[in-house]
Amino acid sequence: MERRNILKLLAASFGSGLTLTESTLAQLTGESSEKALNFFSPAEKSACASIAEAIIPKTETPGAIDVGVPRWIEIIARDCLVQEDQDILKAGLKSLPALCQEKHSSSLADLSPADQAKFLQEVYDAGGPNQLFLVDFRELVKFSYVNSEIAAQEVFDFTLVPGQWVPSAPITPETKVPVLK
Amino acid sequence: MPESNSHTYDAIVVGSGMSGGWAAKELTEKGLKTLVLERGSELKHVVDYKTTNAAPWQLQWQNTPSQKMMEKQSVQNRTGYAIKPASAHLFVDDEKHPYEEKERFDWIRGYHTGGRSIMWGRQTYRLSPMDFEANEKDGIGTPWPITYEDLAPWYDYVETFAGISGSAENLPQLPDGKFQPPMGLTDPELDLKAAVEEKWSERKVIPGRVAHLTAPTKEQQVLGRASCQYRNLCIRGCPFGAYFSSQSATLRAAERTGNLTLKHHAIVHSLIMNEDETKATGVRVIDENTKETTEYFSKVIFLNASTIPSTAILMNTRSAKFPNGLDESGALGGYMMDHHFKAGARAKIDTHKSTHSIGRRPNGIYIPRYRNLPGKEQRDYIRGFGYQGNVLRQNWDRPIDGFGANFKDQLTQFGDWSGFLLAFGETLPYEQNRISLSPDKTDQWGLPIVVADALFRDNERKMRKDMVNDAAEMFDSMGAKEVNTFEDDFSVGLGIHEMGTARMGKSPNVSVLNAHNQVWAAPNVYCTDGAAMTSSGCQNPSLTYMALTARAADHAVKQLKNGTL
Repeated sequence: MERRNILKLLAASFGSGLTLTESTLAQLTGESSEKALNFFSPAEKSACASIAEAIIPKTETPGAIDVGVPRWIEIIARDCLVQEDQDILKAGLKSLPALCQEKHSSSLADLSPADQAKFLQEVYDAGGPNQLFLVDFRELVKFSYVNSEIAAQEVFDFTLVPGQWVPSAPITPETKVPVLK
Repeated sequence: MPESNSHTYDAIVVGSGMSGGWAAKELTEKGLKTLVLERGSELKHVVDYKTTNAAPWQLQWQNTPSQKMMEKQSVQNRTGYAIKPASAHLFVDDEKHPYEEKERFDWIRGYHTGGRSIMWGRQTYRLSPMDFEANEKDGIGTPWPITYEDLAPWYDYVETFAGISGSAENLPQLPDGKFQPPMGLTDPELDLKAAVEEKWSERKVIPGRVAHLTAPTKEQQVLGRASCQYRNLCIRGCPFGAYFSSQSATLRAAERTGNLTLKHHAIVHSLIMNEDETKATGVRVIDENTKETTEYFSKVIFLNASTIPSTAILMNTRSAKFPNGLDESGALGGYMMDHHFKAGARAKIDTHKSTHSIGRRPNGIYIPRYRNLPGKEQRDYIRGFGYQGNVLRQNWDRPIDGFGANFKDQLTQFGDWSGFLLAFGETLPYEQNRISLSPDKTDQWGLPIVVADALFRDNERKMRKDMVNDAAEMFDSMGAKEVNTFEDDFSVGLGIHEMGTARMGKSPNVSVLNAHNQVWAAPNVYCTDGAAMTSSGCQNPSLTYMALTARAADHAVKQLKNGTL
């Protein structure tokens, strides 16, 4: 009886405009979904993508670029960050590619994934403004990656309606880390 | 009065939130044609919870607040959690709804059907006999005019209807209620419970008591309510009606009687008094959109506009006889309380590496008050505090070092368990903690804006030392690692438990309301929201408003029937 009731309510909840029709979606995503996105210059866009991918590379699962992290970061940086944090971001996006050229005579994206990670670690270990940038940027990449449609569903566990609370369950090889708490 | 007939009801309820919904339910079920006035816009159950099923990638900025949102709702944003794309629309626009802060006062509000019953924390606890006796015993404020025993049957009544998940614990300082099955504790929460209860006989770690259905009754199912689905997206509105809100429960029940009229965009300006000013005959209402004034009339009026607005309506009811509003005691506006919090501890627990929990429990653990209990050691402050908290497995949101494949690998694995204890402390009713109406500033509807002037004081500050230290020593008792205390800036209002300003009391010389929540100066006016509170306890207060409201509605209808109102 209870179960049928829940199924009925679930159906009602998904049938009443809450399945997120195109118009609702447009309303929810609002101005952040606008096509023209020019907060970053072409060079900054390119740096954002390559550093994001260096932080979360494509492996047997999607990487930062596959799931659309660079676009999310640009939108969030534009609308959600204060000027000071925007400046830190833009400074890092400028200085890291230059550093990479200087050190490896190569763009970051052209290094092997292992060398990319090594390069970022060295920049981080050197401290200063670039470390500050990497701390902030890594958080943004992590957040946008986990909350992206592809990673949330393929790499992590995104369950809108768990339907149960099990306070203690074994972690198995199949257990995925949940997106939401 | 040709026009007044269509504007005449048996009862008027001001506000459709936590307590207004209860007034509506009780009065309509007892046969009264009832008009509920809601100042905000309509928020329909389920269909208007527009973000309830939205995934992070379907929300603006993946549910991160924009700078623009935070500026526009700068007061609401002091919560730190309310102003996000998934929930900001349920909180007021601070630019549209100004007030004045003599001292910082965080006034967190929702103006729509159901008020804050949509976004509340849903923790539900009874006050205890000790709480009702505290003012009298300490000589603080004024004594409550009722005892625990007066309210106990009404607690039973509202719990049964609302549906409270919890466990019976037989504690004198936190009476048991009518419970649906509790939500279980995680492995390290059970360890914390065992360690704390072993070390301190008066301390208990129990499942939070929360207004979520875990075994719905027939009565609840008929209203379309179902068991909690453990989404923990409650702040967006629940499509299952699993937690108690006006929409899911009381207003639905009121609608079914056929006696309910619910008007939106109806801002109450003041009460209309009869000629000799011995009772109210109705209310003056300003339309939120057109700003036109309309009058509505009834035999009985319930003020459930929430603590400060209910008091503001009483203050704005002025005449030669009542130059300061509908009160002759001087208590109106004074003795404002909240719970002080933002103090406690965090810890890391590195055991139980092979387990986790499934689902998202919209609840946690609770540690009932254990300080200054009668017959026990007394501290250098009076009253006490309780803790809410949890110990949950850390996921991707923990700090993770490194870059590249190794970083990604860590991201997809669980971290240690992370423990959190947050104290909520009782605040004393100080006469000088007041709200008043501005003598010269009005809002766009011509209503004088509210001026808040309240501070936490010495007793609260002393209590905070224990709130911090005790949390750490309890984590220490279970062998937790990296135990870190915190005591953040705190200000009145942020507990979102504003109480008092039209307190109940034993005589019209000291209080605004009597033992049945009737305004002494106009006994057909009842006020049963947080404004009525004489002391605050340390427990989350909504359940007490519900019980006071059901009790007062019963009283009002009996008085109407025997012609004494």
